Amino acid sequence: MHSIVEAIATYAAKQPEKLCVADGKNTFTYLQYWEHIAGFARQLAECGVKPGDCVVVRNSQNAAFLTAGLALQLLGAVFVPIEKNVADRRIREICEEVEAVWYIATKEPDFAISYLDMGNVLTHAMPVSMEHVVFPKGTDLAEILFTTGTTGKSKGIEILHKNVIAVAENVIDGVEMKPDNVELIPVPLSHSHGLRRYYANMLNGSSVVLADGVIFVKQIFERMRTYGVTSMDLVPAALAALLKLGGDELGQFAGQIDYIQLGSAPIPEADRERLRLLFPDSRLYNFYGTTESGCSCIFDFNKYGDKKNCIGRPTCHAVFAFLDEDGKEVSATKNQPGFLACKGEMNMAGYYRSPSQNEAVFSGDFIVTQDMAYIGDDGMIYLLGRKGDVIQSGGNKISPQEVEEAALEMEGIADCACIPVESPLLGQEPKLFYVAAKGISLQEEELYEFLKRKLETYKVPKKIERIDQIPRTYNGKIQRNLLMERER
Amino acid sequence: MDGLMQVLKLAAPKVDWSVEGNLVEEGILDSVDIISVVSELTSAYDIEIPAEEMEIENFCSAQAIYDLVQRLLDE
Repeated sequence: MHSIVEAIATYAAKQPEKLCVADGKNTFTYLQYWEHIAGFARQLAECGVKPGDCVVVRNSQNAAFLTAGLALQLLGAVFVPIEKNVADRRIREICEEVEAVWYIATKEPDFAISYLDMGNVLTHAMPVSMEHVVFPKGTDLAEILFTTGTTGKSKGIEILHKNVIAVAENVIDGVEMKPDNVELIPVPLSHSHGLRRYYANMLNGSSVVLADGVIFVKQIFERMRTYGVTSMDLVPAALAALLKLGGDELGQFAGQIDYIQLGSAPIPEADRERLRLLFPDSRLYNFYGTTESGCSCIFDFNKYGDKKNCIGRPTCHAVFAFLDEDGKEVSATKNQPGFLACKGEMNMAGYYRSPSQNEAVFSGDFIVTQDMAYIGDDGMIYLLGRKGDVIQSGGNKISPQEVEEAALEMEGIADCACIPVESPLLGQEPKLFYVAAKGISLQEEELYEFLKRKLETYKVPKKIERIDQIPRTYNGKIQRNLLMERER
Repeated sequence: MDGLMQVLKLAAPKVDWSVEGNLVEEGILDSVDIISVVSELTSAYDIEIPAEEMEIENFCSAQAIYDLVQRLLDE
């Protein structure tokens, strides 16, 4: 199988009546979904879209958005998904950057470009004669994904069909996905995280149930019952919302849920613990990966328990190495961690039109991250944090996540973030920002005393500041760069 | 209703609660606002909002939220 769209066409013949995608408004079997994809691909061809053309598609978080993406890929065109809530200025920038020939969305843009309304996508279903269908090759460009840019400017990432397939296989193999899996995906489909879980289910011939977030828990629970959902895909922010609004009622699905997979950002310890209590017999995975090198490491925290900073073992296509500052492979240890580098078929082709960025990130076949990591005695990989985030204090390395997890254990701390700040004596030292829970008056000294009991002395931040909100991305990742800028 | 408006303004100060139409479907009230509204209602009225009540219809306007609170207080 060289592409997801080829997998869907194959399953449309093998299991035409099986549930493929449901979004609350539409429910499609594999045959129906394939006929919609092929029908819209023909419509796009009539509009003049050619192989290699880029088409920007704004996420509507439903089957129409996903159909548009696969119809483009069937045509050999390039799918460029963008966020649902992206600013108009950014839409224009991306359209110009990729020289988009069409823009598909639910609302016309305020600049000149050929526009197709999303409402048009699911109106072209047609029976397909397979002998005329030409599927994309593995080496063809499938999509350009724009990162949210937590570490700097947003980047366009080129993903070939063979990369899409390898990432999907990493997920299928990693979570031990069964053919009759029915996965609830309530996270944004324009981001690599949600999109790749959808691809994995399509490659596996499984079923996907979509939702637009988890806030309206009643709707989520209804869909879980209606479609017999057996797995869920969440990011930490969505998990936190689901636990807060759904409470222990989420546990009613414990006998039904085979696994829950999370990723994109570290999961707070308290949420991990609560999930383990609610789903004692389910597999609970935390995926590590990047848009550049997807789903490369997986950890089942229900099976292995609490291993701080552990990201588990490489997935089926991933090979890891640890590099020093000069790019030389080293045996990384806790005291001498290396930069985590990953090679495998899931690695991106490169950054879009950016040779200098490619040069900076590739070392041979390896994509080198800024994540500092090592292999533990148990053979699993442990992350200390990103290079810029790991605090180098007087010869000691401090993981900001460890400090944050300790602080969150204190009653009255609603959120926190730890960053390195300059220290005349130590080079760097940790500084902790915290948000107090509503109605709690908490003194910095109390938090300091609490942390002294939890952490080694050199890890305890002497600088502690209360703020109104910790800056985070949509998926809950701390935007440390914003806090660091504030300190400069 | 005046008391509720104060709670809503505290929970989501940037939201224009006087807008007619569906605040959720029009994207005026986002997920962060809704979580904040739920937290404020819970402490201001000493109520629990069960999962079964977490649906768009109950949060689409200030009036809908008022009706929800009244219903939960009456139970």
